[in-house]
Amino acid sequence: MVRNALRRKLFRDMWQNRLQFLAVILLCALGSWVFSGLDASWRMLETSAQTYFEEQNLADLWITRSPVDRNALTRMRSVRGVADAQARLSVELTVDLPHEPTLLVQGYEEAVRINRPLLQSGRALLESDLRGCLLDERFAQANGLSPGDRLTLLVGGEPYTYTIRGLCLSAEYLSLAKSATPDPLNYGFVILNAASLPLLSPNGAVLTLAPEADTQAVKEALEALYPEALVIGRDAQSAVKSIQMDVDMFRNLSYVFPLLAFAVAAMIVLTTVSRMLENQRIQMGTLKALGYRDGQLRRHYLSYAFYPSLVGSFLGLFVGRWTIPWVLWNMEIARHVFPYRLNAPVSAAQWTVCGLGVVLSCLICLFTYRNSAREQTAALLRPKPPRAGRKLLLERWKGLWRRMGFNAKMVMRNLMRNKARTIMSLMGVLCCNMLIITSLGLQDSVAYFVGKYYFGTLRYDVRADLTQDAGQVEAYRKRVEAGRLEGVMDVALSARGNGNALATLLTVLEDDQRLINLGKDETWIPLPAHGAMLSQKLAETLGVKVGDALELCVPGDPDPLRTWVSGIAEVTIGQTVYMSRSAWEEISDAGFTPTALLVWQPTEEGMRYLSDLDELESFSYPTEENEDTLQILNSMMGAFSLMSGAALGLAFVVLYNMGILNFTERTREYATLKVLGYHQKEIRRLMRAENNLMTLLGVLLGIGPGWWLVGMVFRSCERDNMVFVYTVKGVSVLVACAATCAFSYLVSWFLTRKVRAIDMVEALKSVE
Amino acid sequence: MSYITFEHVTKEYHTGGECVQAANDVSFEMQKGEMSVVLGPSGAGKTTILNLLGGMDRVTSGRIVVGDKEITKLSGKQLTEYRRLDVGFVFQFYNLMPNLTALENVELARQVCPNALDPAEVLQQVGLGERMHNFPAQLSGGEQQRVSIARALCKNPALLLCDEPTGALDSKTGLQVLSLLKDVTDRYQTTVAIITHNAAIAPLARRVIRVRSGRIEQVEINERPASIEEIVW
Repeated sequence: MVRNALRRKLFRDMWQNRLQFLAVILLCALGSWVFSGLDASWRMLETSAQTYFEEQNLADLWITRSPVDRNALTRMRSVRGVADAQARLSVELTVDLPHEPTLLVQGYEEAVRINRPLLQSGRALLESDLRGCLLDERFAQANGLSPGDRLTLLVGGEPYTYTIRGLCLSAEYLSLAKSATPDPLNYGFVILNAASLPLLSPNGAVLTLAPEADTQAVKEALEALYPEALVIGRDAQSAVKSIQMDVDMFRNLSYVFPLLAFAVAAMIVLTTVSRMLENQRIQMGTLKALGYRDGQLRRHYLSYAFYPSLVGSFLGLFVGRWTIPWVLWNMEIARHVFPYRLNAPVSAAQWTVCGLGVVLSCLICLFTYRNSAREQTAALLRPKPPRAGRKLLLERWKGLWRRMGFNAKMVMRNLMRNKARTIMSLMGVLCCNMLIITSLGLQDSVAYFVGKYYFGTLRYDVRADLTQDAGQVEAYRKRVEAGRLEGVMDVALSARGNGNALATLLTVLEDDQRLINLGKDETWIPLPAHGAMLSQKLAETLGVKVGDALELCVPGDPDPLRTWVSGIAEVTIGQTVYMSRSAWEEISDAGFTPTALLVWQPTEEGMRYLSDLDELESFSYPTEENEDTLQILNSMMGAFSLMSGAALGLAFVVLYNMGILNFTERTREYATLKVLGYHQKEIRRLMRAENNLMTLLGVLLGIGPGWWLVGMVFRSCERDNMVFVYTVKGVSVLVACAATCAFSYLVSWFLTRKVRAIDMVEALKSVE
Repeated sequence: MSYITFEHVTKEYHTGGECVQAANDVSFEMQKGEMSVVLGPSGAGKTTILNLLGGMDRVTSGRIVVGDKEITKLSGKQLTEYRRLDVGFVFQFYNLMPNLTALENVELARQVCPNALDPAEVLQQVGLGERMHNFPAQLSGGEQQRVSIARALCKNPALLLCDEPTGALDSKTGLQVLSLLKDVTDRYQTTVAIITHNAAIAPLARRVIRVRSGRIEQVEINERPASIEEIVW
């Protein structure tokens, strides 16, 4: 009986205070929504990728060396920890189609065991089939090819024609792009039997390791076996790395943003729940007077927090798992080709955050309840004595206080009366502005640091990549009409320093180069005549500083080149070793053959000359590369936009909730004002004055933390080949402030509309 | 001609399909500068009459005329003007703003009223000259009620409506408050209507309107209203 009556009271109370309960539900939901969404996103991405990798037996190590014969394979297999090894031929060939696309050809000597292609249509490629191939499904779709069609590859000008047996996907080429973004029309992969290309021999091998093997140890053993070979593990393979970077980014984001959302939500739950319990004060006293035991009452009032937070947290959890991963997945598949999407089960972290929301709300509730329950029953039956007004510190300053209008005085007194509430409202506005600044600032920052590199560091207008048949720079300089032309030589190698090694790129520049700014803030500095300059990020990754020794291992050369770090290049993108031509020639006798020409202000004539060159491979323009890089960071931008949405939602709930609490608390005062003959407009103006002051203060105070948060979040998403330099544009700050103000104004508009509904008769009733 | 006229005023409240008649064919008059008491047990409809008279609620049928205004015909905005310029309210629970000092509470009324009296002077008159910088929580119930009266008087209203002004006070303090109200009537020629369930107050008024179950039971005229000293409860 007792329980039923209490329960009925509970449900009716909930219904009566449904807006406040709804606010608690929404806030709990928001807190867990963002976290579970991002957490589920990175787990989804990781699970999908890992499963795909395992299903297709992705290699653990890739070796580039030539030749790989039967003998070499046997030696590789005998290295401790190696489970399997397969030799293969990797070469880029031009397809005989009008737009001359390029295909990355993978020729195997036996049936493919490692990096198995995933057949999408057609049939598999037999080991004996020398006229067939398996084609990249994306490339086939973009070029309108299907199984049964012919495909002609040009090897040294000779056509080799194959029949497409089937279309496939490859885990190894989950992200396949020649430059930054995938371009399936012009670039793809094809798998065929190595024997069908007799002129070319296998130039690499792929290896899988035994389950218990130590990757690093095997890698070192292989490097010892073939010092001239380039051995890379999964962590450096482009597909795995690309996925891993996104996974890491979402994971990092999932810690920073939701933590904030959670903190704000907890704050609001605190005020709302304690307010609800305070309203229940006399009822609490009555129930105690009726003889209800403390435990029963505690359970009853605990339900006020327990049910809404439970519903909210789990709502957030499940909605988050559906919405955010879906959005982010759609961004992922713009750059990655997945055969399927796998959702990870609800992780322990998600349950924990959910549970934390519930526990925290209950604790807050319990705390408030105990504060009330400590009082004597008789005291509870009386309304809480009204808070005494107090002179403000401000009043001591007589001159100012006297000059303030009556309304201003009233506003000040009101704000100071309930300091906790005032601070909460202030925090609400502050957090709102902070989060909006952060999300806008993050978008600014991405554009900023990418632009810094492509428009600040790179000074040339076009880069012409050349094939191996390139001639001397001096010759080009004479023939190409341009403001300036410089040659660069890029060498793929692995850099070792301070005990760390990394596969990276060496860029040799001319001694008097002017087209790449390597100094601080994209200023030009002369290249050191000796030693190598490392990009900021590379120095960071290797853990070396100026003066440290550096070894450069060029594939095909058994002896590493020894040099030292003579400078750090302040560039935001790339892990690159920069050297001057003379420094390079000092340590290597390979000479300087340009792999690309950097051209500044070419004339039309000059461009025509360049594009007619036989040895020209492709042009690239910093403007386009800038766009491409932004494209890569698109998923990050997406995550940021999502956060902005959440921030706005949060802000609205917070502001409205605080406003409503304030309003219900003062209904009686407003009613009295109404009876005194205040016009609705005047009462509204009074309410708005308070709100405006809070908003102004909150907005101003939010700018600093917003700025700080941009840096924090941005650094936590940093990718391993980029230095994330952050910035916040003045416009963004203005927009954020304006948005927050508009938001706050909207909320106060909603609230002030309620003045109309205030019943004056309320004011005459006894205090409840 | 009387200052206040109620003509066949009926007020119905509809709650959940049920119709409650809070005032049923109420007609009475009050004269200018006169103190009247509306007397009745709780639930009799006193407060409804006060609400209607104060322009805080609207009649279902009938007319109310105050001075030259037929307030039953006023728009919402005009009603606010009426409350603002013509009516002063004294509440049972004082309804002071807890975070404004006594003086500031009175200033609250002056804010909206063009021909208001000087707040400090009015407080002086109600005997709170010394305490005008205190907050309500620092004042006793009687003192708070006096602030509330000062707030109403400050507007220099033609009509002063008091809803159980002594309801929350002990008899001694209550009498002080009543005495104050009586003085006011005499000094400013204000029409005062006091709503109460306390029959002991009735002899003070010149006109006593007895209400029961939403109807006027009786209207008495005291030719010689009693003085405060004669009243006991």
